[in-house]
Amino acid sequence: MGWLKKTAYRLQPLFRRRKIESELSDEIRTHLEMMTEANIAAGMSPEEAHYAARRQFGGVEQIKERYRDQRGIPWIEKSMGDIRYSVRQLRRSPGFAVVAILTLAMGIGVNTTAFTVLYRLPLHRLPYPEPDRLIRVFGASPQIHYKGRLSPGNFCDLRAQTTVFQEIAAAGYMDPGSLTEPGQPPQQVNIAPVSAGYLNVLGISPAMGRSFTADEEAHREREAILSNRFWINHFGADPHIVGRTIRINAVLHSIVGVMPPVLDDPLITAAPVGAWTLDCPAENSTVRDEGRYLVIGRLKPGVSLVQAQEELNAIALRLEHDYPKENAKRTFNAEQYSLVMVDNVTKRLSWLVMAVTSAVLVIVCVNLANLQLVRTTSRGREYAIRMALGSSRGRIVRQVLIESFLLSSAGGALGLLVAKWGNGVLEKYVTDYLLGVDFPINVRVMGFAFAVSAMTGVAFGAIPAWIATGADLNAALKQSARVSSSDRSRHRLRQTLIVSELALALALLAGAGYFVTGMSRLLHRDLGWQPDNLLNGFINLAPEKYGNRNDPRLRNFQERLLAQLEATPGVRNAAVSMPSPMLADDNANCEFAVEGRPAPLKGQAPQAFSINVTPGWFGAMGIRILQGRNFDDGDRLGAPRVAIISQSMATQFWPGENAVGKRIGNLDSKNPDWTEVVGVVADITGGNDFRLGRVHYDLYRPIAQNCDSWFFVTVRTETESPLVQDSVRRAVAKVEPDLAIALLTTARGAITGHMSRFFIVSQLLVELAVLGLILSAAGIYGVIANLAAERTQEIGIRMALGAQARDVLWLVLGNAIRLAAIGTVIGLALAFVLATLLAKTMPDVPGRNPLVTLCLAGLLIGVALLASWLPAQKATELNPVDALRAE
Amino acid sequence: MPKEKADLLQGTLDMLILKALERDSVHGFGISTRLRRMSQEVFRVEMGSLYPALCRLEAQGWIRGSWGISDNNRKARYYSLTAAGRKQLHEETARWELLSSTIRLILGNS
Repeated sequence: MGWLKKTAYRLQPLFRRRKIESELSDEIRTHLEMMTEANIAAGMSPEEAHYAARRQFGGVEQIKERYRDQRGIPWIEKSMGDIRYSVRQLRRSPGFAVVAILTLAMGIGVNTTAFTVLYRLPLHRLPYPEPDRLIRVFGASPQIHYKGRLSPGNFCDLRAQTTVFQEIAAAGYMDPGSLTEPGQPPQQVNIAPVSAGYLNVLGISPAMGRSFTADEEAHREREAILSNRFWINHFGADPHIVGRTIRINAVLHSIVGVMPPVLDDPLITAAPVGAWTLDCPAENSTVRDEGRYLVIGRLKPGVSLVQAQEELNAIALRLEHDYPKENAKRTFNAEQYSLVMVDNVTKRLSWLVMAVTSAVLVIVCVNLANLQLVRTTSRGREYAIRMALGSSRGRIVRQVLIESFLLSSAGGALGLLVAKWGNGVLEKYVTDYLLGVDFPINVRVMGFAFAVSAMTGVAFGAIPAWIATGADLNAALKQSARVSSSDRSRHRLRQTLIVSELALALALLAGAGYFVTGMSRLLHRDLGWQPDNLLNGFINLAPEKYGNRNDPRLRNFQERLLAQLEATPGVRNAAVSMPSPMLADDNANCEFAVEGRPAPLKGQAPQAFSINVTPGWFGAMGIRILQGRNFDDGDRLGAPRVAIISQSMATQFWPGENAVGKRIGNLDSKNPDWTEVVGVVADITGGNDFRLGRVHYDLYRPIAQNCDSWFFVTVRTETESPLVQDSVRRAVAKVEPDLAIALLTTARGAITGHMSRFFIVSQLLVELAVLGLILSAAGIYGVIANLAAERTQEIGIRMALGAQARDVLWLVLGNAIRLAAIGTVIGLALAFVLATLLAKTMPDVPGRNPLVTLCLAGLLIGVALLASWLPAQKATELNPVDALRAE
Repeated sequence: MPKEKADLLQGTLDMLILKALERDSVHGFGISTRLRRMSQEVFRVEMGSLYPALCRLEAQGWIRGSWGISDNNRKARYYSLTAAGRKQLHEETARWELLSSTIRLILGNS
């Protein structure tokens, strides 16, 4: 019999206790009967024989007890006994059990939800096999920061020369593209151009069809692999899709495969990808000064990151030698592929929410510890008797702990339901900025909930259990109903618990206040432009049809598009810009030199946010022109170069002077390309720029002099109605049937979209803080009520001696005031630390506001006193006679 | 010290029970009578030791208990030796013989 069988044999009593007991009784009875028979056979009378057999056999019950010890696993059986006992105890105080389970369910539930978010967002790992062999290669030069993209030429040479990579691939800019099919309106879809080895590097193979091959890349085939979601949504999961052709940006591509669903995870790509297209870096292998590609590689087995970096250094030196002009001081940096796609702000927010929910859980634990303390105190005599009868202290502590465990497990189970609900709510909230992300409850999440339940069980059970059993036995046995020798220390502990609870609640309130203040400041800031009734969209023209930079066909298209838009009902005016301050990231910086000033040192040149616009743009955006003139039709290609600058830039570089007429240029002193400043406009803040009070410079140039094949369209509308968006889409299709306008959103929508996660967090914090406030109010209510009850006799005496109701009220309330005051002081200190921490880690949310914190402290004190008022008021209604008799 | 003594006695009783079951299966009462007979009425097993011992042996997998009908038509639990139990009996017997002969040697020499 193996250990398994042996264990099974020993575990049997746990489940088949009745059967085993009755079998044992049967066996012993048979034995006794046989003995009796033997005695009769030996000549005894039946009665004599029966008694003799009994005598010979010995104590039946003792034998059974010894048998049981042999049979089962004593400590498990004892624990089972304890559990049964605890269940009985809890049934006797259902109110406590229900309150405990519900608050635990809330506490554990919100923590589980926070953990799901944490696990799904910052801790999420990308699903690529052998991820430690995945490497990113960045290009860096003195001008470009560390994590730059690689130019096509350098990528081709790198790919040809490298020996450390099993496969290396490039990914171009993912852009919204237009997909047209015969007889259907063009559809906007994100297109991710990649080189042939891309999927091999990731270690992903298509769910259907095949990958791109190096051969096809060399032959510049136009091919696409569809994303699983796009295949399902757009092509109805057509099983014969492979081999068909589609028009992407007016170019025919043949579909060679469909990706597995795992790549649809919104956490993998910056935006949902419709199709990956085969990109041929070699087509532009002469381009060496323009970073276009994110480069990823899979190391050969056994090659370390250091070895890879050494080889990259060697290749960089070679390339610098071969192309000294473009590759001066250029280096390549290998870095472990980041398996975490979530940006830092979201990461920090997730951790913040986790910290806050933990604080709520601590409050829950403190509350329950308090309740348990009251219960164990009232059971102090019971424990004392049990200990006097020989029960060990450990046994009783275990008993109380088991009770807490039972409660916390029930709370945990219910908490999972709360978490499931919470996750669902959160999924709806975050979908604004993380499209379609889900928060499933998986094994790890359940494990977390279980671990948290166990921990809370210990947290709120252990201390009361230890204290309750630590009482002096004699004193406890002698005690009348309430007065106990350890009362003083117990009261101190309970008051400490309440104070810490209040302090935590205030910290939570302050955190919520911080975010709410920050959100309101962000919402009401002056952007310098009018975000109401404004639409913004992105257009990406096919270079095959419209040519590249400054091609006259591009300008022609823009003119026709704007004319068409302005003729559309509901549209006031329309303009074009590149990029757009509503969506642009911070990287769109442009260094400049000021005429008549010493040339700035390398890396120290002032930088401006550079936007190319049509003359109507300032009007459409609602930006005031302060000095000089707007652009006009005369500012076209070939005409003198002109610029408009923002007010901050003008006052910084020409203080006390008129900036109009001055000139700025680029950093190349031999060919500065001087540009005349013709106007000064008001400062603006980007829709996704949350740093209040940050000084930055804007530099506007006529788009006619700097035209690219992709640009933003800004439309000032009559209303916010979505119908106008449809009209705009139709207007675009009228000008170019193959084109869909991408990212079409209202400016308000874009701004709230950028802020959505802060909204979510601030809403969550408010809810959690209210929860904490209610819990701590309940906590202080309980403690004061209990204190008042314990002082019934004292109060009775005082009243008999002439104390007025008011004196009694103050007597009881005095306690509460003291506790609330200490809690508030500690809480304010905590809130200060928290605000400092938040200001450092969340620079995007400018929420620091001592006044709000003080108001919240007032709120906390008010709520605490209100909660204590009830028991205090009750104490004043005591009848002194009853109180004195109370035992 | 008392614990070790108990173990020694327990081990001895276990061995004797196994021995009693060597030839065929028998119920608890049968074991006690068998042991008495085999020891020529010298060894009387305490019931308080017999049943826990049976339980222990069954837990070890050395004997197996099953319900059967006794000679005079009574439902009784019959115990029989398992293969492991037989092996254990041989080992125990050998060990006991070695021990007792050694002790006899020493006692005889003194």
